[in-house]
Amino acid sequence: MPPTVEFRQGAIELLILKTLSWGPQHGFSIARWIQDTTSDVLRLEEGSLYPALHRMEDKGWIDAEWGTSENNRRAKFYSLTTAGRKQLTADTRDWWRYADAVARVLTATVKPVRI
Amino acid sequence: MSREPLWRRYRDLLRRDPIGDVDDEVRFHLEMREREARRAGKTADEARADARQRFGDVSGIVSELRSIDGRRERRRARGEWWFDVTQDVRVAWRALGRAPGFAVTAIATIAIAIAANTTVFSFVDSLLFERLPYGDAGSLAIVSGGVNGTLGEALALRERVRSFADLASYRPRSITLNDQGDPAQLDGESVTANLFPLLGVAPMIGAPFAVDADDPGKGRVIMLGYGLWRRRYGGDRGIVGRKLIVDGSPYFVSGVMPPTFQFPTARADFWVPMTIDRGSAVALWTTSGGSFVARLRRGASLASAQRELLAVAVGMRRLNPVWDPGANYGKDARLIPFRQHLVGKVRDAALLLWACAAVVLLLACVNLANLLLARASAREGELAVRAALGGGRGRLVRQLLTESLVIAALGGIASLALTAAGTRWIAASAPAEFPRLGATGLRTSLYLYSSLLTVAAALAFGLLPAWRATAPRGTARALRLGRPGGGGAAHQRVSATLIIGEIAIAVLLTISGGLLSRSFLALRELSPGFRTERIVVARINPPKASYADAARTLALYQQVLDRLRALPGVVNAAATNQLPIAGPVFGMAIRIQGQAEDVRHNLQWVAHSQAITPEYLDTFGVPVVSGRGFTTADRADGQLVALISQSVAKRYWPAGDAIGKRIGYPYDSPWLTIVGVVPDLRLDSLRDTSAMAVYVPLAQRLTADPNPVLSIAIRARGDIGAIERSIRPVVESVDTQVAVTEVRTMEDVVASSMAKSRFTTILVSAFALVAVLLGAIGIYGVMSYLVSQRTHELGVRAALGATPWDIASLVLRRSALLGVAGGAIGIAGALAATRALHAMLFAVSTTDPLTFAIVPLGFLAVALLATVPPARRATRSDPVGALRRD
Repeated sequence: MPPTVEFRQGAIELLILKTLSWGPQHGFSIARWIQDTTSDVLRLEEGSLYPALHRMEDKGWIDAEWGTSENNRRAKFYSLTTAGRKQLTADTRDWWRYADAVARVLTATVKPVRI
Repeated sequence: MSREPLWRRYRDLLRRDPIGDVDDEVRFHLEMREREARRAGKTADEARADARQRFGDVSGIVSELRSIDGRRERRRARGEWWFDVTQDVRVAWRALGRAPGFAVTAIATIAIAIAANTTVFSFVDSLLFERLPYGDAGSLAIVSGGVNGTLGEALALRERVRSFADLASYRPRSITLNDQGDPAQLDGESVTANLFPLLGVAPMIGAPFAVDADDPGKGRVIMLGYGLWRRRYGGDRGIVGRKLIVDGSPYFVSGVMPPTFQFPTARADFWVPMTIDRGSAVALWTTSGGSFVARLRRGASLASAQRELLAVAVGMRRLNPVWDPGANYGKDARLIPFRQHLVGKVRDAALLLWACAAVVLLLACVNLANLLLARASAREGELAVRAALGGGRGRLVRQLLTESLVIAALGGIASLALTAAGTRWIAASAPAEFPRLGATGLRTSLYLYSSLLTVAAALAFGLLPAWRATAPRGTARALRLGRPGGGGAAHQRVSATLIIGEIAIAVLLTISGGLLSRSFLALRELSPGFRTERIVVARINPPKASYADAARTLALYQQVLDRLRALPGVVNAAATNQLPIAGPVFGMAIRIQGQAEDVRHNLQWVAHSQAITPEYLDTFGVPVVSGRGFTTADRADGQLVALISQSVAKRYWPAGDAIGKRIGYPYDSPWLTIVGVVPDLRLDSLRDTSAMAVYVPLAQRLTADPNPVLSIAIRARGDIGAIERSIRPVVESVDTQVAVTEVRTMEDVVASSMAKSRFTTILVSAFALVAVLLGAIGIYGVMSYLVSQRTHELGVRAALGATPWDIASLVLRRSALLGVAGGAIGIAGALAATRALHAMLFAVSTTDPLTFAIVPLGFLAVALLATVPPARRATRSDPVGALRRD
C-alpha cells in the first residue's frame, strides 16, 4: 500500500462534483470511486463526505433523490445541477492554476535574490 | 443499526422525515461497506468494525447531517407558508374583483371607520399621552382652589408642605415690547425666579434667572420664548444680554428657551421675574402670585402630598396678617397633576369623541360581518367544493380571514388619506382651548394605531362569518343542490342579532349627537343680556413707563374714544377693564355698609366686577333698571359710586331700596354709593348664570390701578369693517407707542366662546350621521339577503294568491321588528350613557324627551326606507320560476 496523503478540506467538494459529472451516484459509490481512482492515496474519512453532500445540496449544486441501488436497496442518489456543472468548471480551472503555481515554485532553479 | 423496515420505503407518500432519511442514508453506506468486507473474507464483527472505522465518527456526523437537513426543512416550511399566504391573498383579490359592489362598500366602510378613529386618536394622543416638555412631568402638580393665590401663601406652602421639593408661582402678564421703534403687545408670564429649575428645563442659550431675580429692584431681565426669538429677532444668538424696552423700562435678555418648551401654554412668548417683597408681610399677603405649580419630592405620592397640602392650607388661615379669610379657607385646596390641569377642560370632549369613533368602528365591523355572512351563504357552493377537495376547515377559515384582512388593509390604506385630511381639519378648526395641538398630522404613532385597528377590525368582522361559513353541516346538501342553499334559520338569527345591535348603537350615538346639537342650539339662541351685533372690540395696552399716572391714562382713553366717536358711522364707544364673554370676568369680595362691614370676618363675594366708562352701558345696549348710569361727572375726585346687578340688589336689599346704600372694596377704603341697578348679564360666557355683578366708573378705578390693559368697544351703524380698520390709526394719532391688539367683532368673541361646543357638536353629529348611514346600509344588506334567501318561498306565496302588498309587508314587518328591538335597546343604552354627557349639556336634560322620542322614530323611518328596495324586489318574485324549480 502506497503512503497516503491527508485529504485536503475544500477539495472534497471539487472531487464530489467531478464524480457526479459521470452521472447520479449515491454516497457510498462516490466514496468508493474517489478511493479507486486515487488508488487509495487520498485517505478520505468516508463520513466526512456526507456533510459536504448535504451542504452542496443546500447551495443548489446538486440534487438529491431517493432511488433504488444496484442491490435493490433504498438509497439516496445525488446528481449535478446546472449550477453544479458551472461550479465544477470554475473550480477545476482554479485548481489547476493553484497546482501550477505551486509546481512552478517547487521546480524553480533560480535562488531568491537577497535585498 | 438494524435493517430498514420495509414500510419506510413508502413513507415519503405520507410525509417527509428528514431525521429518518439521515439514518437511512448512513445505514446504507455502512451496510455496503460491511458487505464488501465480508466478501473479502472478514468475519461479521470485523466487517462491522472495519466499516465504522473507515466512516469515522458515526454519531457526530449523523447529528451534523440532521442539523443541516433540519435547517433546510424549516426554510422550506417558511417558504411554503409564504406561498400559501400569497396564494390566499391572490384568491381573495380575485374574489373581491368578482364582487366589485361588495368590495367598494366594504372598503369604504372600513376606511371611514378607521380614519375616524385615527383622526380622533391623533389629537387624543397629543393631548393625553405625548411627553410634556418638562423634566419628569409626572411629579408636577398645580395647587387649585382653597387658597387665594397670594405670594404669601405661595411662600408658606413652599416652606411648609414637605412633600413639595419646590413650588413656583406664575401669572399672565401682557407687555408692550418696544425695541426697534415698532411696539408689539405680547402675552407672557410673570414668574418666580425658581420656575425654570423647578420645571427641569434650561434655556437653549443664555442663563436661567438668578436665584434672587424676584427680589425687589432686581428683576429687570426677560426670558424669550423660541417662537418670539425667531419671529422678532430672526434667531440672532447675540440677543443674550441685549437691552429691550418692556413697558417703557429697560430689560436685559437673560436667554432663549428651547423650541419644545411651552409654559403654561403655547401662548406664552416670554417670562419675566415677578417682584417678591419678602420684607413686607402685608405686601406678600395682598399681592397675587397667580397659579402655583409644585414639584413633588422624590418618593412623595400625589395622595400623600394632597393630604399634607390640605392640612397646611387649612392651618394657613392664621398666617394671614391682613384679614381673616374665613372658616372655609383652605378646605378646597387640591393638587392636580399638571397634565390633567392642561387638558382638564377638553379631556371629556376628547374622550367622548374617542368613544364615538370607537362606536363607529364597531358599527362598521358589525356591518361588514353581516355583509360577509350574506356573501358566505351566496358562496356556499364554492366553499363546499373547496371543503370536499380536501381543504381542512382551518385552511378555509384562513382563506376567508385573508379576504377580510385584504379588505381591512385596503380600507386602512385608504383611511390614511382621510386621516391626513381629518387631522388638518381638526388642527384648523379646533378651538383655542384645545392645548398642545402642535403635533398633528401623520406620524409613527398614527401608523401603528391604524395598523392595529386594521388587524383588529379584520378579525372582528371576519372571524364569525368565516367560522360559520365553513361549518361542516350543509356541505353535502350544498353540493347536491349545486346552488346557494337556504342559509337557514341559524344564519338569520345571527344576522338579526347583529343588526339589532347595530341599530341600538346607532340610536345611542344619534341620541348623544341630538342632545349635543339641541344644547348647542339652545346656547346659540341665548342672549348674554347685552347686544353683540355691530360692535367692534380691541385691546389697548399703554406702556407703563409713560402711563403710570391715572390722569394721563384717563386722558389717553378719553382722547381715543372721542376720536373714535367722531368717525362716521360710529354710534358710541366705551372702555372697560374686563371684556365680557372673551374670558372670565373676575369678581371680588365686598363690604356692605350696615350688613357686612368687617374686613376680617364677613366679606361678601360678588362673581364679577367691571370698571367701565360712562358710555359702556349705551354701547352694549344695557338699560338702567333703576337709578342712573355713570356720567362724566363721576370723576376720581367726585363722590365714589357703583352700579349693581339686579341679583345683588335683590339679595342684599330685598325691599328694593338699594339706591343710595353703600358698599366698599375688601379693605379699609372710602365707601362707594350705589347709584343704579342694571340687569343681570352673562359675563364669563353664555353659560354663565352667576348674575352677581358690581360696576364702578373707570375714572375712579384708575386711581388704584393706573396702568390697566383695557378693552375698547365701538358700536357702529354702518360698515363695521371700516371701523375695525380705523382703530389702529386713531390710536396711533393719539400716541404711536400704544399697541393695539385683538381687533375683532363682538360676534366673533361670542362665536369663539362657543367654539368648543360647536367643535364637539359637529364631530359627534358627524359620527351620528355616519352611524345612521352604516345602520341603513346594514339593514339594507340584511333585508336584501333575506329576500334573496326567500325568493322561492315568496314565489310560492305569490303563486298561492298573495298580493304584492302582502309580500312587501312581510318584508317590511320584519324590518320594523328589527328596528323596534334595536331602538329599544339603544334608548336603554342611551339613558345610561348620556349621563356622562351631563357636563357638556346646557339647557337640555340628559333625558330630553324630544330627542329620545324623535331619534328612535326617525331611525325606524330610516330602517323602513332602507327596506323599500328589497321589499320591491320581493314583490317581483316570480311564481312560475319558483314552482318550476320544485
